[in-house]
Amino acid sequence: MSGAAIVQAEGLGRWYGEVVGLGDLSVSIEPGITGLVGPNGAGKSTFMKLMVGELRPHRGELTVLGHTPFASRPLYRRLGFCPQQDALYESQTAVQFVRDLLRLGGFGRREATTRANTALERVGLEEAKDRKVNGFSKGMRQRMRLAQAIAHDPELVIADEPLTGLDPIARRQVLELFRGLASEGRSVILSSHVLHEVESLTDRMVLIHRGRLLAQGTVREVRSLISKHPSRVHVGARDPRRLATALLGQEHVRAVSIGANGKDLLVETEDAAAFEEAFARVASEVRAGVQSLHSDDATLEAVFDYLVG
Amino acid sequence: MKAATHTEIYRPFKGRLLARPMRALVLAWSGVRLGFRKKLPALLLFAVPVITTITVAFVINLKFDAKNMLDDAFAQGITDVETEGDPMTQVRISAAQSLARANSDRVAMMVSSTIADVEALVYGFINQMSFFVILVMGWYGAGLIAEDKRLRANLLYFARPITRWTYLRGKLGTAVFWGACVVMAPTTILLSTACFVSPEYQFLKESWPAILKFEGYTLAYVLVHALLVLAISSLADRRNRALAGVFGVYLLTYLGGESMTRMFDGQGWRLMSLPRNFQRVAESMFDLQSGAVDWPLEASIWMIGLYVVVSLAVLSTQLGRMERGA
Amino acid sequence: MNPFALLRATALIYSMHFGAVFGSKRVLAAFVLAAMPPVLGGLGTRLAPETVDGSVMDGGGIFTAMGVFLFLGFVVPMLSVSIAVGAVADEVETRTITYPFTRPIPRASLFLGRWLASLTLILGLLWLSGGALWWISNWREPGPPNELVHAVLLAATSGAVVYSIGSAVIGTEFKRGLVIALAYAFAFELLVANVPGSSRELTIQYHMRAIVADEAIKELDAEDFLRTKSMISASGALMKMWIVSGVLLLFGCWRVGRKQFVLSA
Repeated sequence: MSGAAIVQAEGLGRWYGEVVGLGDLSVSIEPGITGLVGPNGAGKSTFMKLMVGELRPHRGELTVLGHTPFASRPLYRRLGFCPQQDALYESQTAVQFVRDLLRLGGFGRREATTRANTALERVGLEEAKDRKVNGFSKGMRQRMRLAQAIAHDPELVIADEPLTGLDPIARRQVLELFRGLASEGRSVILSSHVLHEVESLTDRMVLIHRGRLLAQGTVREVRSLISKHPSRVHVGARDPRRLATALLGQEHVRAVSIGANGKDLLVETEDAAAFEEAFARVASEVRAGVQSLHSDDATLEAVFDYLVG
Repeated sequence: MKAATHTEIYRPFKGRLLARPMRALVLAWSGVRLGFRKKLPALLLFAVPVITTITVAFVINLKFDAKNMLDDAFAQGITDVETEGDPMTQVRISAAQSLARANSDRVAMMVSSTIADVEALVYGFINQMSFFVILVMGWYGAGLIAEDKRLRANLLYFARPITRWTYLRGKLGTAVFWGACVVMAPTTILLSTACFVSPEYQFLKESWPAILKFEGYTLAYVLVHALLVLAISSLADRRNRALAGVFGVYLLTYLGGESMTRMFDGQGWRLMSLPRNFQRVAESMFDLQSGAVDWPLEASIWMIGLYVVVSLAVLSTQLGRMERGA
Repeated sequence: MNPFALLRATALIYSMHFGAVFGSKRVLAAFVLAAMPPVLGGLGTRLAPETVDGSVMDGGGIFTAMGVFLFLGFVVPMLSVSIAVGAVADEVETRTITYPFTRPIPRASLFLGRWLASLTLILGLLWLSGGALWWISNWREPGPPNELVHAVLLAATSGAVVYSIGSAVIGTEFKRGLVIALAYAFAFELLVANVPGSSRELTIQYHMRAIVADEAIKELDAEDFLRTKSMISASGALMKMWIVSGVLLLFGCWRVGRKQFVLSA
């Protein structure tokens, strides 16, 4: 485990009556952007609630930025949390909402107002800042929750399903916001069950399933851990049959199939690195006229399918 | 690239709707089943009514038991008292013998007196349960419409071919069910007990008008209170607030009436309270007099009518809004 | 715990929620409730006979009838319970409690600040109601004596404080806090407060009645309701109510600091 870890969990468990929210989670998260990924009910939100001290673990140890989270005031100065639930103080305006929470964070009225305006600008709500939040759309409300999480410039932002309910433009803005925070040296932990969204932001993942850690690392690292599943590579070629015959001669290639259009090959290999090395040589030898090459195994969806399925 | 989306297609309904007159019953039953989900509140709310019902049934049984012995003693003309056995039985038999010998008319009087005692017991029971009716119907009924409003379930209900009155009948059915469980069902049990334990079903033969009155009274009590609870529920958008409203209305009218009674030389202000009006109706139906509700019967009937009309007006307005999707 | 941090956060929470409490829909219902004693008292001053059951129905009699039976017996507990039970529970119900709980403030300040905001509304309405009743009672001469008015307002204030803290604690602890608090105030209390013997000392009603008993009994024959025999003194009742309030307040603060609120998404 790294000494620079921002989140350190050891044997973490949390139950809701007889329902297991988190079983036995041991994980270490380092600074930067980290995606917490898992299907619905995997335990992502529970883990986040434990990280922000909304709940206490029933077993195990958890430290966030070196603090035990539950009711930790020093931690809350350094942490911003964007909750999943669509809840705001409905009678307040956007700027009042963020400002009042900043004031609870210890800022004076004037500085809180300035920071609130800045935060609302960063999430694209500067024009709506004086409107009451109860008239906001779902996407605007989501951005409000983000604004209060980033307004006090926290070292770590924890966002529970921050992209849910956003339209494509707002989603892009929010992803940009997270990238911006990361470039400023802040850390972001965000959860999602929509894998490609997380993947577009970071390749560092923590995969949770049924309250346990399934895998951790980059998508490729995780992928390489899976030996029982072959890597799949799509190849487009002018002469796919000749190329298929040549590839089948390679020891690491397990199967080759030709697509319905007669031009695409799907190659299954047990050693992706060896395949990468051998492919160029084989393709040039048989003059197959390779037109395209890509592997969909490195996508998070595929990794997840392998691990969960 | 081929794109695919999930598309929901809505088409106007062209078929023939099957008439389902029992649709309200389905709604009512679904509400009742929801209430059965939580065991602890049911246990707490029904513990006292159940215990009271059992106790009163036992007392009724004892009353007729003693009377049966008197009858037996009289019929058999027992002359020799057994020296062994339960001392209480001996005393009863001995008393029966003395009474039988003394005056047979007196025994006949005791028969009717026992029936009157049982009727008074049943009325006393209903009176005591009136608080629990409000408690139980408040608990189970307060959320019936308020929660539908909060969850916007009215959009789902009224997307079906049901009218607001079907919806109301369904909700009313649920509320009445719970109220009936506290007062109607126990009353029926007590009256049945009295019928079965009375010699040759004398209670049924002699008191059938009273039995009908008891059943009618409890049904009216439950129905009117259910309407009021539902009206308050339709005005709130949270179950808890509706429940507070139910308690508020009952306590305000009751305590307000009591306070005003202290200022005015008369009891007319007690007309504000719905349970007090039912008390007046009951006293008239069962020839009783407590002295607390000395006003003309018609006044109470008008007040109960007013409660019903106002409740229905509120329900009609609120359910109309819900039907329109507001 | 840094007391200055607690005070600052309490003040901030108070100011945040003060407007929200006043702007909520339930204030309208609370206002109607608070208006009942003066409205009915007004009817009394205009229509009540000179004497009722041997008691002179002057301003003092009317003030006692309304102030003791309706105001202290119903309006004070009902207002206090229905408003204060949501002090913390409303934040849980609306799931906004996450925001103050992820800020560097003592969690107890949430309980204190929100309870104080509720109490401000409760006391504002109660004083308004009591003041209006006093003013209206003066329409019929002689008006209520000052000692009686002070006693009723003191009893209402103390009662509101205890009821409201108790309700806020119940709302924090239980999911259906309002039901439990109402059941306590109007089932348990009504039953136990009217039972002769020392068990009635378990109720807030008994202590409120003890504060007003001496003055009220001079104005109206209310022995059947007040049961002044072997009643504790007004100062004793007041002392006990403030001690209970303090204990409940500390308990509430401690519980909010320790409690985990499981919120749905």
